[in-house]
Amino acid sequence: MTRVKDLGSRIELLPEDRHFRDISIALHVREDERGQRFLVHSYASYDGTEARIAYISDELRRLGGLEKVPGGSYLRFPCGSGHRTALRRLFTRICRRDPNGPAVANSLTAYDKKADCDIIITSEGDGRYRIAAALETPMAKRRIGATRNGFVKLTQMTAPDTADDLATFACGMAHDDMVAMLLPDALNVRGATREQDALRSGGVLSAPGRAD
Amino acid sequence: MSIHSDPAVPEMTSRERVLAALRMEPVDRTPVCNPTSVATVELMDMVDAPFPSANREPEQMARLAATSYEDLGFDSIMPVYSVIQESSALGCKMQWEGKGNWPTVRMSEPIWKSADDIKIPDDFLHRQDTKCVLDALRILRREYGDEVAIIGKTMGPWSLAYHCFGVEPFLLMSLDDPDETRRILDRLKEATIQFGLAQIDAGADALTLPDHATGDLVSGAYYEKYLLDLHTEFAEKIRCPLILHICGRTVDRMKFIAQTGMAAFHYDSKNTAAESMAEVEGRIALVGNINNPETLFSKTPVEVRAEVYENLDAGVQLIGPECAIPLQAPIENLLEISRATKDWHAERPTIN
Repeated sequence: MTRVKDLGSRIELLPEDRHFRDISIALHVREDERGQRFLVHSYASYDGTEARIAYISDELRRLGGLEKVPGGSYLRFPCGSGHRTALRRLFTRICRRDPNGPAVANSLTAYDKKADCDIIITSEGDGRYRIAAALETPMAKRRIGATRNGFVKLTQMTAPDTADDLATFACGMAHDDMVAMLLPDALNVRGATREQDALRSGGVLSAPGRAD
Repeated sequence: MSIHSDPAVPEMTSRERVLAALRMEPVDRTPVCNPTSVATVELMDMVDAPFPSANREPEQMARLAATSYEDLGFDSIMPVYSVIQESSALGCKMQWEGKGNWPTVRMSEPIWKSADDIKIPDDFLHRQDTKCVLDALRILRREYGDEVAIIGKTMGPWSLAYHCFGVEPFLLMSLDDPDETRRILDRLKEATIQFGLAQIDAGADALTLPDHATGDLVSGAYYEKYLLDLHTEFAEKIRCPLILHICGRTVDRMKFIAQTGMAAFHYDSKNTAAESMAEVEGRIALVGNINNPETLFSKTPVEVRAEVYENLDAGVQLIGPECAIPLQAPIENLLEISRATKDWHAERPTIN
């Protein structure tokens, strides 16, 4: 009798949780007539595993804007959409963050080293977000476009050709918490992508000729 | 269309199914077999047997290996996850890594330079990393009896030479000094044979014999020159079904591999099922060849199913991943291998 649980499709995996006994933690999605629902799960059974899973679920709600599906452990976005690319990134960030570290300031403003000024995001409603810089230098202007492109890559927001300071969620709903949480990654999208790729590339066995 | 599954064959146990397929005899359905590892970090958590200790402690090694049968629906259990057990026992410098990665030999720090340096230790089979495998096989045999095929693994001399001499020095030597290369292979083969025979005594039904004359490093002509006779000798001396494993594109050497007398060849997805079946002409069974890095690791059960069906349609005798699966592979993809195999047969109830 298999111990494998039918949890839906696994969309992300943290192979070793450095904050709790190196357990693996997965994010699953189940999609049916009720929309897309997400579940944080681990097959580990150490004392404390359930608390760790509950903490990550709670953080996804607090920092990602998800809500609990009544009568279970699944989560969903209030808009009913999946936003999977963004959610996978959020999940990884939350798992890797020190739970005893300083609280995250979920702000729509962040300092950008390259522009040497704050980048400010404003929600304009209907899922539209305007990106601006505190300075009007050429570099700051370039960084607005780069930040917008970062959001497009990390969240699959759409970007109109006519304005390089605008990004929009297709669901037409605001996701301020998620945008705030992913703003530091959008400012450094190459680093964020590299980190994600490195996480996923571990655990592949090479033939001896390639394993030196 | 499979020519090996026969509706007249009464239902078999997993062990009977695998062993019959390795003999290329009729089976009730095509077995799902893992000549190499199907361990993942999630399965490690499920049975509390994480790397690296699951490579070094027999109870953990056996417990993790049994998930292939208990949880994934495979017809075999194969407890030797890595390629380093013998090399560690021979004295190679090791990097054991953590839970999320494979232990490796530090091949940049080779331990030998010539054939004269080679010494198989008197206590080779009693060192921690060889003894662990033997003890794990005994545990599995005791636990599962005749229910499921238990497969061991003994590394071939070409792979051991990479570990003990370094990849580059050994490959250069094979170009510059064929006689010395043959002496090295001849001495290292003793480790392969000793460890193989000990695993049979410990309860292995069959042995995987990886020998990494891989398609990207070594040609088919090289295989014939250096390994054909050695592999034939293994098939004669190690008296159980042997499953040769070589990664990469290997169609150019399959005709030689088919002459060795080994029971099966575990082949890579760089070779199509149809061309491989045509090349071996029924002289050796094939096991494989579900793609690891793309399909099992990052695609979905839909793509896994398609590859399983492609192998079954071509008549491949045993279905399984092409090599040791990535430790982060999703369990749902691994489960799909056995589900798809059973469904393929259910959809063709009258095929003989």
